[in-house]
Amino acid sequence: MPPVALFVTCVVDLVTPDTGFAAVRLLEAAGCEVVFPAGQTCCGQPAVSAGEPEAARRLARHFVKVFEPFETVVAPSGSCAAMVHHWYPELLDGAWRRRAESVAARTYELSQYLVEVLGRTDLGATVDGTVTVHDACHGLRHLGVRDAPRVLLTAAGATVVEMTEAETCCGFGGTFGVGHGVLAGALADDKLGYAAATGASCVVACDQACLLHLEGRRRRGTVGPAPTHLADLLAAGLP
Amino acid sequence: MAHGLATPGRTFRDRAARALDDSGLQRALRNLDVRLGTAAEVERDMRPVKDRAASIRRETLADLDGWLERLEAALTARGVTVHRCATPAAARAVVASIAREVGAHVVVKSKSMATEEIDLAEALEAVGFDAVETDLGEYVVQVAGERPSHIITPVIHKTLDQIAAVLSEEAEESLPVDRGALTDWVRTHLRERFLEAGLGVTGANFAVAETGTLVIVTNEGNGRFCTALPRVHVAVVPVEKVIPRFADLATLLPVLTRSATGQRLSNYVSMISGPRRAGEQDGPEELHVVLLDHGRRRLIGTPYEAMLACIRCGACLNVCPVYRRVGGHAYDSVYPGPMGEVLTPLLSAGLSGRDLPAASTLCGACTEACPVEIPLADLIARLRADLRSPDPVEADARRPHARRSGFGAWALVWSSPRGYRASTIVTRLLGAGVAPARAVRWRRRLLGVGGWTATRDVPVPARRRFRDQWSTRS
Amino acid sequence: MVDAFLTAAGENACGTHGPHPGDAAADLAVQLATRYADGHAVVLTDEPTIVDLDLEARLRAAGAAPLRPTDRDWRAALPNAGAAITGCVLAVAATGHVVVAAGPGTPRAASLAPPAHICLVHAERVVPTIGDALAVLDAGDLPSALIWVGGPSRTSDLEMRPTIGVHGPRTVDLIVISA
Repeated sequence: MPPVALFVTCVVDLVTPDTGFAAVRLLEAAGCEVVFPAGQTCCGQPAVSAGEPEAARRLARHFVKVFEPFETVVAPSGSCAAMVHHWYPELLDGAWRRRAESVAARTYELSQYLVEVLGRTDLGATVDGTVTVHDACHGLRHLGVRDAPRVLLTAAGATVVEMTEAETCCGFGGTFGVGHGVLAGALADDKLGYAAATGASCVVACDQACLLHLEGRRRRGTVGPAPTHLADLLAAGLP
Repeated sequence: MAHGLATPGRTFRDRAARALDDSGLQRALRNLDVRLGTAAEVERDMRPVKDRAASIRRETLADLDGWLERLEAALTARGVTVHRCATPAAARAVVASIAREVGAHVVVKSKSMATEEIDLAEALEAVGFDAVETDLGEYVVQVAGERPSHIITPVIHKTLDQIAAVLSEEAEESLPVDRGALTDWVRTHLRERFLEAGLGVTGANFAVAETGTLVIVTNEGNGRFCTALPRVHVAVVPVEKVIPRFADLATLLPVLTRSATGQRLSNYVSMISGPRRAGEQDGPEELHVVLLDHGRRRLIGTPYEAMLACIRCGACLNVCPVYRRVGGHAYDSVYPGPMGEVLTPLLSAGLSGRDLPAASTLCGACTEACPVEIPLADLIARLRADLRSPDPVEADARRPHARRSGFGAWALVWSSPRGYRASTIVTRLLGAGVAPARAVRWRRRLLGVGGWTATRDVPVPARRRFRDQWSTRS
Repeated sequence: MVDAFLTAAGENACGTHGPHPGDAAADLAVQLATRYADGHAVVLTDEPTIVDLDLEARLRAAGAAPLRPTDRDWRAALPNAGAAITGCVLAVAATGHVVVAAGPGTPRAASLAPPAHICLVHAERVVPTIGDALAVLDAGDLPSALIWVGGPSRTSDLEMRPTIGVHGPRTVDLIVISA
């Protein structure tokens, strides 16, 4: 099997590198060889969110150059993978678009890759207790990531309890989370409230940005279960 | 869009903050039904119908001017007077002049976003007519001196207590906080107005080019009264309401009402093909159609053409996490929510609603809910870029942001691995050695994240990046 | 299909009756109208269903006061009418709607202004879907107004809870006449 190129994402690289290593351990547990293309930076999504398509285009071309040598690209972020799928073809023209579409066709969110491509559900990890899943927006709506994280958690022995409005945005929203901080905080409170009502010990998502936003709110006093990346939770349960 | 009744607060951010603090509003907004008509089994049955609806809308927009010519010819053949109006001012003038000719003091209106868009009721009031909104929710909003906050349920921003208070003041008696009693009072009160009105004003949900038929969907029956009793009927019809064929209604009607209210079909559907005919006892003797452009036709052929497919069902409002938290008035536009974030700057050529596209998390719930497949979230993102120009429809792609955002420099640096590594040393330092208070201040300054830190703790950068750890991984 | 129509109409908060033979249907219409009108006039339309079943004579026999569109004071008397009996051109099984057509003798307000609307529906006029109804209606020969009626006048403007009777009829009774 050809190696999997990890697109670790800038947020994980700079803020939660452990999540990157958790993703690597899961991929290795599934029998993959993981490589880390050193030239990678950011997918460019913040620029789209900010209305700066030229900046996004520059980073899109960089991403394509870095990742096109690889058969498979996996990111521990639905949103960043969705950026490649949904926005790159919009942003780029001509040969660049064709190259981007070709890379996009081989780019996956982590849980999606494990479950839908490799057909793996039980990676040998054990997760005790009750968890609830927040369906992060772009993974859900652009990539169709809905069942995969639940399947992996259930196979690891966790009890997955559905919260009300699991598919409603947590309020992060890229530049929205900065420009409309008060509103973003209110939406995070709603999300944490729904998650808390399930009695789950953590709220699991496949996007670190959403989780950091929720955690940032929690540290200001909003009560709710611990926002936890799927990779971190599963990798902690590996033997 | 400019209108007389401004909502307090200069920006969306101000108004949203106010809305979050308004406990009555927050209570009222809980009544909004996010899953209206989108139960899984309904969605499965409706999917192919929605696909057909989207394709009919695309077909119409592909030859909008052609369908409009056919519509105008069919209406004229039925004895309808057609007025093509390019601007709200022209449309207001036409309706006011018709009202003067009718000599009617009382004008009854049914709910219509097009008439809201052109401020018709206020314009008629200003020249001495008594223009009465007759949809229950619109009536409450009018009596309260407010604006609708939702394109389908105009008074969703008020609780029953608040509505009872508004109506009690109008009635000059204390009405009970009871749906039935309040409804009865409005029924009796507005029935008199229907009977004395000389002019009925409506919008139209669809205008059939093939037959010259105006289609109006309502639940209350006020639209029926407006088109049955007054001597003259004026319908204000934005150009994109045209549909090609009578048979298309089999697709578009259920799609509209499912998405708007969850109903299989609205309670009443009026299909009006011309004025009263010989021997008929009621119906308007004169029927006028104001075909309103107001910046719509120029969207054809632009990336925003798809927005003209909108059938004003309100589904995108109901699913929008932002709309549901702040309500419609925070948008300070006739059109709130995701569709309003797109339409407001487009129809006003960038004069209004410039900060609305930023009022979205780009979560895509609107795109998913839209029954006619308008990529609302994508259009919102695109507008953020195009609003760097004064008029987003004629945006200059090379135009930089008025306020230098630094994204260009950022992309330049981050499109090289070396630049990325060098620049992120700063964040590592912030995460490591620097004293916390100073670190926070610096982070704010460097990352421009003051809006973040006001409500959430900023994540602390790791001491060692993933890439540094990877290179030393055994 | 008549069953499906009546079920759907029942879900829309209509009173549903029949199928009954013409005479029984007419008697039921008169009985309902007399009760709803409670001494006020009962609006009748001039359409074959109403005329053929001689609703006017039946109403008079029951002691009610019919109001016909050709009556000189029709418009003036309309606001005080207590009920209306009309026919319909079509009925839609999928949605429970009846389609009434405006025309000479069938004014738009007849099925709208009185607080009770009783509609006689010939079983053979029930079609399965909205699309079938549109096809039957014939785009080439449309009346000045077609009104699709799904049930009593309603609103959800008050905290999104349905409330009946805001402008039009508070009750709609559909009586199917067997084929």
